[in-house]
Amino acid sequence: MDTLSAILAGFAVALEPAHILYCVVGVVVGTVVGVLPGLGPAATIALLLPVTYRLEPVSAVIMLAGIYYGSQYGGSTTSILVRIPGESSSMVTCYDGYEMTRRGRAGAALGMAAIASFVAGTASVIGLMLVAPLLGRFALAFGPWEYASLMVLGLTLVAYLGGASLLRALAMAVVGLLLATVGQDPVAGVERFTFGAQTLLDGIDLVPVFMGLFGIAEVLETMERPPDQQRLATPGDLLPTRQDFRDSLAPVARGTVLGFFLGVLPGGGATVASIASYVTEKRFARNRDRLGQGAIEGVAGPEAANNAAATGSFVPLLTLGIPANVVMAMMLAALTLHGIRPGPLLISERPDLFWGTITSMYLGNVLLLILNLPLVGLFIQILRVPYPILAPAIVLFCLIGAYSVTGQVAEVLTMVCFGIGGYLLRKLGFEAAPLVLALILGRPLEEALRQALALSQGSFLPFLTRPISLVLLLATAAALTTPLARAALARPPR
Amino acid sequence: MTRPLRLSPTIRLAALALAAAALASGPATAQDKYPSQPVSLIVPFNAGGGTDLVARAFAEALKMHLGQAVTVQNLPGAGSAVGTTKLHGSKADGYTLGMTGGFLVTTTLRGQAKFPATDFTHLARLSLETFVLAVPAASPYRSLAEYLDAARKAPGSVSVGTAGAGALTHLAAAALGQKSGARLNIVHFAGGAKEIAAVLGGHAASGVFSQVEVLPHAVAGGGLRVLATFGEARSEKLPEVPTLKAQGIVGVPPGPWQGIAAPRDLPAPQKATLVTAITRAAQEPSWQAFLQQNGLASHFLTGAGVDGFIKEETETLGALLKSVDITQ
Repeated sequence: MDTLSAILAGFAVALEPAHILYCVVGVVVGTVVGVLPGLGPAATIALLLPVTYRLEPVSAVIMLAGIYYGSQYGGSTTSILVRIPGESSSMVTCYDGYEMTRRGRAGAALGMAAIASFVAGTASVIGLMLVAPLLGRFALAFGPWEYASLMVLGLTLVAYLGGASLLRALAMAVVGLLLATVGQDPVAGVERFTFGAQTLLDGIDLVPVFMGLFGIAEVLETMERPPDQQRLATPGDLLPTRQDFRDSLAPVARGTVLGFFLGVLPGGGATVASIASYVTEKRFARNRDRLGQGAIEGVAGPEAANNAAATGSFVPLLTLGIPANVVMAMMLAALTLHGIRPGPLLISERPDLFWGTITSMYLGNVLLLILNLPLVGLFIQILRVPYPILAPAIVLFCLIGAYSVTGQVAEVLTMVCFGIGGYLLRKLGFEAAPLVLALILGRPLEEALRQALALSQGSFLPFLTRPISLVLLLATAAALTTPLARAALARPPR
Repeated sequence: MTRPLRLSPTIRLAALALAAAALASGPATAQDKYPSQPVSLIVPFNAGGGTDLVARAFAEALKMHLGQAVTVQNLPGAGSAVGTTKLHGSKADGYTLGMTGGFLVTTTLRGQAKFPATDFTHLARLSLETFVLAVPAASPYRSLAEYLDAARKAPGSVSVGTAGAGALTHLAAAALGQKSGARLNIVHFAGGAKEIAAVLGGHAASGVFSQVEVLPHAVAGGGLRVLATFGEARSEKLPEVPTLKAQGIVGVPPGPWQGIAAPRDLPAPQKATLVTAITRAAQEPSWQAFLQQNGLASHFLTGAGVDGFIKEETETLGALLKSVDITQ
């Protein structure tokens, strides 16, 4: 069966009424999950997984996939409107998205987020179809050395996330890395900084940290302002202008490519992809000086990147049977219970499942666009809600979101602690984003580094002799030296 | 305006106690006819893990013979210590059961859960899987003998992946080295998925896996070659692969297992009902088909058999944990 007829057969599967229904259910649930801060796709899929055990496998996968990529659409909504990201992958959308809201351009930001998501989602599904098997091999070429180098490169992104002060950004990154060491040591199994608490054994979960630093801290900070300044900006026009589209074209294209490749690699994922896209725009965009002041590029790029990454993360699962993240692991479980064990043979053994799932993503992305654009008009009404009413609602959603991670009160306590901590850090002029990025990258960096050193029996040489690793380290060096050099040059001679 | 109702702390406490008693009396009054309400089955891992799948498949079979719904409750955290501790502290009334496995033995031995693995009413062992030693298809090692020879000639040069420090695959890899006299370079990965990617990519020379993980790759033209299975007998799924035992290596943990337990001191009538229902459920065709599909062997054990098995497992794994220098 050649690819074209396979794709047509895939559409035949995806367009079966039952499958359309599950696709609709998936993307609607995904949108809701994305919009609500805290409640993420992983927690939702964990809740719904038992239900899918009763469905036939194609329906189950179509629905779960819809939840996952659907959540990437909704995540930006609260980032843009109230500066609280719905998902960690929409964290950087806060910067320019919220600035746009303050300038009365919330509608344009929300609209562009949906359109960028749609373009990136659809383009990356095409990528998935054409090059999935090839990319599976690309993912396997990444060994511990390559991952360690990639994480190091990722850490240099913090230099661009700290607002004005590089030193403060680095300080926050160090705090994030230290927090990432909490939990069971990945090699010796030693408990580090757990103080005997069972909940800390698995490390500090990202979701409560992130809800506290962004959600709770934002509410606390807004509350201290006089009531007349708590009013959010009045909603402006509903759709992006022609100029917005022109400005967004290149960022969306860059974000899509970057996101897709980072998504294919296990451990990278949508959050890192969105941050990488934001930093790319901040460095290379034509209007880079506008970034951070309500530029549409700062919304379009990251929102494209996180959608492309979500689609890209299906590659290792569908071509190798290897889940790239926790959501993919649950997808694998849904298949396993039906006696399907995805592997290299999935495409030939179950073409209905492989092509049906992929083609359903086209449908899902169209549905999401149709669903999300009219919602812009609705969501924008949130800005009319008086803050004294909105604030407790946000806090409530954060509490529920933190609790939903594992169903333990400890997660709620973690969130409250980080909320208060985040508020104090803001007062002292520290940005939370470098901390979150370092917390995300810290654990995989340590694991990869220690695996690499164990495999090479203590030698650092393979980091430089393995080509992919070398390129990544050279990129790191370039990323580190240019801002320092620029800072040195900009300093007036004494 | 109505005055808010004020209650003294004592009254509040009393009210709470009453409410709690009302809730708790449900099972108590139903004692004459067990089970009279749904039974919950604690899985100390997230939905979607291997133990979760086994639990859900078995819950389906069990409910037919228990005459009550069996609801799976996922309580992940701290390896498996959170869910296991919850089961340990639950009331022994037959309405709270939990999944057991090698994880129960290792978390209790390592002190992450503060009680011994024997401190439960173990009801049955439901399934047993075999570990396998797999190398990349392009590996120079065609047999276990070649593999071990290479490791003996250059100690530490042959790497073997595990699914994590202190995991059962870690102990199996360590035991393989000890019992064969070859010094293997043990490298830990965060879970079986990352481990298999490293071996498929040729970054690690070999890995110890659950059989079900390698099956899609251990086919003609696949990315992995299996050198040995760890179970007693040859695997039905990989009949051409010799066992460790046939190659003269004994004393290596054979593979992950799953069982079912209740809190300790479960009253005899409840225990009898449960053991009968579990024994019958284990014969259900749907459950047997699930085992078959996933390459699991039943090796059903109950009563004194399962108690002896847990005790034996605690001793073997305890000795291994000490020898691999994992914190206890």
